[in-house]
Amino acid sequence: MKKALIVSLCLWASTLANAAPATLVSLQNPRASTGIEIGDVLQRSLVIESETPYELPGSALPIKGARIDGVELVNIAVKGDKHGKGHRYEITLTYQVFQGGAKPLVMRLPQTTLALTGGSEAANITVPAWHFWYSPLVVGDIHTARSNLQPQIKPALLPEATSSARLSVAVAVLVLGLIGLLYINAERRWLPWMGGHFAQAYRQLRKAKTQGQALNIVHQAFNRVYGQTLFRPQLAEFLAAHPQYQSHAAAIEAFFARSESLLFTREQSDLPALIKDLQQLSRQLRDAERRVA
Amino acid sequence: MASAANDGQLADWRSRALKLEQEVKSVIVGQDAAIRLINIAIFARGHVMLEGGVGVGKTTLLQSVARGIGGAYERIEGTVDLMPNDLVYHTFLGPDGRPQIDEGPLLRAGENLSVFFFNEINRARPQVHALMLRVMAERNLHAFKREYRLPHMIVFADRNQVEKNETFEIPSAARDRFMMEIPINIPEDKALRKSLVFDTRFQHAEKLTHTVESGLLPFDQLNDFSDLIQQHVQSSTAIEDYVIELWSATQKPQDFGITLEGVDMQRLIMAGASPRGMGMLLKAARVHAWLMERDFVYPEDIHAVFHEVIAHRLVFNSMYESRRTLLARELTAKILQTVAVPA
Repeated sequence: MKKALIVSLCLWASTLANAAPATLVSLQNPRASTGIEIGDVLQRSLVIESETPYELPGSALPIKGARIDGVELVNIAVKGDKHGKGHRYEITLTYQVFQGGAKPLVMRLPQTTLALTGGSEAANITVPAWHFWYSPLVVGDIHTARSNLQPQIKPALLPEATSSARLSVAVAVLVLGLIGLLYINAERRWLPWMGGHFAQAYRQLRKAKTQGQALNIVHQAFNRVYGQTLFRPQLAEFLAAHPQYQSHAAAIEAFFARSESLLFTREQSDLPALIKDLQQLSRQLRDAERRVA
Repeated sequence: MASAANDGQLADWRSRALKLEQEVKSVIVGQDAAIRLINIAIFARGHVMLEGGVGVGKTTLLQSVARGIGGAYERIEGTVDLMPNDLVYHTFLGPDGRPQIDEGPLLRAGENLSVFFFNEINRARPQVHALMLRVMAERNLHAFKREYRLPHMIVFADRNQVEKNETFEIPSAARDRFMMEIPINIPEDKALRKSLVFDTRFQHAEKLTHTVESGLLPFDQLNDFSDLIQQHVQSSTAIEDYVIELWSATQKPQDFGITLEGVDMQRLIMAGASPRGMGMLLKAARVHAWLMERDFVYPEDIHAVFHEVIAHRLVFNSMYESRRTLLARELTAKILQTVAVPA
């Protein structure tokens, strides 16, 4: 806004000074004045109108290839037409930046004076210099970069409270589920009541080598739960003292009857089948022990 | 074929044994456990000591059992002046005024003697105990220049644990000859107690005893049949190991973690059960298994007779002897609770 005002004042001043044999009608500079880097091409367009007999000769134009303070004029395009009693010239000056360096600095498109000929008096048009910020591709150090930082608006954050709550609930459910599965199925003592006597029996049964050992493992579990040696005639007392096993009363009774037959008579059993049956019973009683059955 | 015959014989005798139990139970109320144990002792051919207070029905119980067994029944009262010869003979003046010698209660019935009841045995002197010890073990006696055989005799003795005046402690060797010492306690059941007090039929013990059918068991065949039971009922290796563990526990209960309140377990036991005692334990357990219609001994057969067969054989340190009855009961119970059947 401020620049536009200055340019307008310059145009008005030049018009007054030259009594209007030639006037700079318009001047258009590049849109961005910051962030210009080496190799960038900048264009400024200007329109001049002159009264007859004044004309703009080709020699009045700046020389193509001239470099001033790291800015080179790489192209000149001139379009001249009759306009009323005079002429109208549309001139496009194309510059390219060849400035190197590691620090930002202020550069300019140079001031240009165009001399029109043909009249009795000299008529000059002055195109003012246009300043811009050169930005190096590589900064010298962090301090330089920091001093050249431009404020940015932070992106708006997405609302995350609902998603976080859902995630927390899902994780809690998952963890509880895993703990539950672990509690029900785990064989070792990781949580309270997990190292119960029947859980141990279930584990030890895998190592049983004889019929007697297998039966003894389960009997020992019963003995430990009961607090004393448990025999078949005392099963009613046992179940009354430990009602969590009541639902398995028939299986327990059957185990004791089978155990008596195998241990105290000459009856023999298929060991793998016996161990499998005892593991099944131990597992049921383990679940009862953990109160999940 | 022989097996089938044996099975028939076993079943026939079992029904007789159970009939005897029923008959005795009909006159002695509240003593079912004691009656079952006496029945076991009869078929295991073991002598029995009854222990209990005064007037609890020990004598009536034994008389009822003796009537059911059949054969001759003799009885003697233990007194401080009783001498061994009083059991063997007695002297008296005959009708002709001349002294005569006759056989005493031990020899009078000869081989027909089936039950010899020694009342209040702990009032008799050690000399009498010694004689009984020999007769109980050998079942014969030399007297009147000949040998008297008493092959079918079972000794029932009782002792009053309450009264200690003018009594002699029965030595452990003599106690060991008794297969069982059975406690006779007053029934706890209120209805039974009322019955004992108010039912007039219990006022006449003699009449009551005579209601038992006599000669239910052919007493002279009991020895042979007892052998048949012992041969027929088997014990597995597990049971044998279990019995050995129980035996060890009677010797060193502290090794099994057994404790009794207020008792130094290291000093309690002077001697555990004897090999004869353990043999008798198995003998009695086999009879129990037979009564329960089994061909093999189960732990519950051992448990059914353990206290009564073992408790009186334990020799306690003298400092604990005064509490013998209580401690022995507690110790045998703890042993059964603690010792498990080994794998």
